[in-house]
Parts: sequence; C-alpha cells; structure tokens
Amino acid sequence: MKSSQRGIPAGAALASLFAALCCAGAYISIPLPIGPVPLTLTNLFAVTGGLLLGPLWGPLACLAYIAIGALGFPVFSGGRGGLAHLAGPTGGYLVGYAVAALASGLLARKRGALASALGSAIGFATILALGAVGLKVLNDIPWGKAIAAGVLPFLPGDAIKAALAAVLCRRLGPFVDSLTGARDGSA
Amino acid sequence: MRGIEFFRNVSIGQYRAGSSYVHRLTPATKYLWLLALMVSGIASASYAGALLPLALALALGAAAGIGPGFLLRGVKPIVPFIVFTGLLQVLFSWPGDGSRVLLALGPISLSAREARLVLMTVARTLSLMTAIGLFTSVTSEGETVHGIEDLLAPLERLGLHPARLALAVGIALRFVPMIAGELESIAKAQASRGADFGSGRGGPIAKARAYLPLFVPVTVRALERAELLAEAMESRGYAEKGRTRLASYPEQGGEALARLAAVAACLASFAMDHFFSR
Repeated sequence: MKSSQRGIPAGAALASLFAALCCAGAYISIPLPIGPVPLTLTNLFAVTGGLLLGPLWGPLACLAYIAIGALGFPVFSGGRGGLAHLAGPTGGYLVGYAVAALASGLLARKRGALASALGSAIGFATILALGAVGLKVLNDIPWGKAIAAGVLPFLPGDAIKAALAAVLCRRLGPFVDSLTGARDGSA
Repeated sequence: MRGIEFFRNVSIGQYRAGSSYVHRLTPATKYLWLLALMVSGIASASYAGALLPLALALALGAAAGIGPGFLLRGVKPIVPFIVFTGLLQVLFSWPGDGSRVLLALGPISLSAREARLVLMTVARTLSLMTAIGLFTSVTSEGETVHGIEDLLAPLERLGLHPARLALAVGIALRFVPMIAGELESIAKAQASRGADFGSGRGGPIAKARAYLPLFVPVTVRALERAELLAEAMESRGYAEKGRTRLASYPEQGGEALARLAAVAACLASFAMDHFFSR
C-alpha cells in the first residue's frame, strides 16, 4: 500500500479499527472442551485486516492489538490481558497474528479471488503453526501434544473462518481501496 | 441475554490517578521499570530472583498509594493458565528425569524436577502480573501511548514507523468501547429477531454459528467509522512530520537515579541466583 499523505490518516484509521475489532473479537470467545486455547474471532479479524489493509497497515493493526493487550488491557482471549500472555502458553498465537497479517497482506496484494483465498489460508496456517510452536516451547511439552492441543481442535473452525475472510476481503476490498486511494492513484 | 452485556465490560485500564513520586515519573522511566521487573522475573533461575520483582513492585505500589490487593488482582484471571501449565508438567514426564519422585498416583507421578518447574511458573507469573498491574495503575492512557512512541523512536532510522504504531494504539484504545457497543447493539437486534446468544445450548459449534452473523455488520460499521475518522483527520491537516503534543512530561528530580535503580533491581535479581541455591 502506497503511503501517500492521503494514505496515512486513512491507513491509521483502518489499522486502529482493525486493532479495535481484534480486541472486540476476543470477547466473542467460545471455550473448547479441550485445552486452554478458546475459539475466538480475533484471528478472523487479524487475517482479514492483513488481506484488506496490506502488508504495512495490516500487521500494524495486529501489533497495536498486541501492544494494547500487553499493556494490561483485557483484550486477549477470554478477557485476559498483560504481557505475561505473550510469554504464556498462548503467546505463540499472538505473535502469529502479526506474522499472519504480514503474510496474507503480501500474498493478497492483487485482490484476485485466488490470491485472497491463498492469502487467507496461509494466514490461518501461520497462526496455527506459530501457536503450536509457542505451546511446545513455552510449556516444554512434546510436539505431538502441542499439535493435538493447539492445532487439531481449530482446523474445522479456522477453515470456515478462512473462507469467510477471503469472501469478506473480496466484498470489502473496493471500499477500503476507495478510502485509501491506494489502487486507483487518484484522490 | 447473558453473553451480550458481557461485551460492555471491555473496561479500559485500571489507572489510579495520583500525585505520588511514582506517578510523576516520566513514561520512559516507568517503562524501564516495567521492563526491568519483567526481565528479572522471567529470566532469574532461583525462587529468590523470581520473587524479588514481586517484592519491589509491591513496595513501589505502596509508595504510590496502591495496595497489594489491587496489584495482585491481575493474577486471578490467569490462574487457569497456571493450572493448565502445571497439569502439562505433571502429566507428561521428562525424558530421562532422574529426580526424586515426590508423589505417585498410578501412571502419573510428580517428580522433584516437575514440582520445581511448577513452583517457578507460579513465582514468575506472580511477579509479572504484579509488575504489569503496578505499571497500568500509575500510568495513564496518554502516557502509555506517548511512552511507546518515545521508546520506539530510534526505530525510525530503520525505516519503521513507531509514530504510526503509537497512533494506531491511541485511536484503537478509544475505539474498543465503541466497537463493543456496536457489537452489543447488533447482537441485541439479532436476538430480538430470534437469534440465540449465550444460552449455552447446543455446544460450541451452535454457539459459533450464532456469533458468525455478527461479524459482517460489525466490520461494515467499523469501516464506515474509519472513513469518518480519516476524513476528520485530513480536514484538520494531519501530517506525520512536525507534530506537537498537548501533554508534556517534565523530568523531576532524581529521574536519572530512578532509572539507574531499575537497572540495579534487574541486576540484583540475577545476583540472587548466585547467593541462593536453587
């Protein structure tokens, strides 16, 4: 995304709103019967933010969300907050949000249907992969258990969310582009 | 309607206004103390080293007029995480764990090494949460955001934009309650038309399906807000260069000393590892 003078207020406004959506998304959290990682909408907003806002403002939105949570505001899943969570069992997912937004933002620059779908899928895969690495490293448990507790329960839900993110990106993309003036060069 | 009122409780912060010496420190110094307490809490290898930040945070809290009960409140929500981490340690034994077995229940056993790891986790969590509780209770929202901007300012040279991050954090903090409000009103509108939130029936999948229709309207409304905000910023001549601040944070006497003390506290905590046997 080109950061023209026009782009900065629009980008900042969009990034803050996606950060706020990530915060609010954590409140729609559905506890799963297995393990400590609940199902939330935060990852949906993180990936959609990456797809819609591109590789600069998308990750920035996630970083802002992480910063807000790290400072102790209760915006992580299940109404928790604090820097301890970045170092806690689910810290890998939090780091994953920013990396996923970057990855999907880079992939979906062109806004084709295929690019959106691919970017969305890669985004969710990144979150799950980093989440599992976090579970493994921070809890000192074997790989098998980390994947069983931190990846497998989310696959069905995340597949639905990935499809939703791709569709949303296609629908809302033109709106975001007109707002940032990034793609048509005018404004 | 349980589960809807819930959205409103995105309470922002637990700042306790005050005029104590601790309150009046510059944001940079407060961040330095936060960092020092957290690093020493996480990285110390002994109980004494991991608990020293807890003691310091409680002492600083007392100096700022904030009681230990208020600071320790932050520990409660993460008790389930501590329990889970503890369970993981106990359930999966370490390969080649030769330490003494303290307790055995069928195939599950608690070795001395596992017990130590669990206790260290508890000590570290107590220290971390108390340090963060102290920081958020003496640092206002504005200070928090300006502090981020100041601390990350050197990254500007690497082509990064710390000012943008600070801006996004600052705006997002104001938007969280608004989005929570939108979410609540949309959820209520849908509930009044027969949608079912939070009744707990049907398990996680049914619950997830009930929430998904919220996503689209909330996103669309948020985007509309973003457009308004961008226009407002533009029409007021927002530019990245040459911004000034309304608030200023004058350094008070002993500011440099307070920063040195933070570094000393961190070193002292590591020194504890030496003096106290593990």
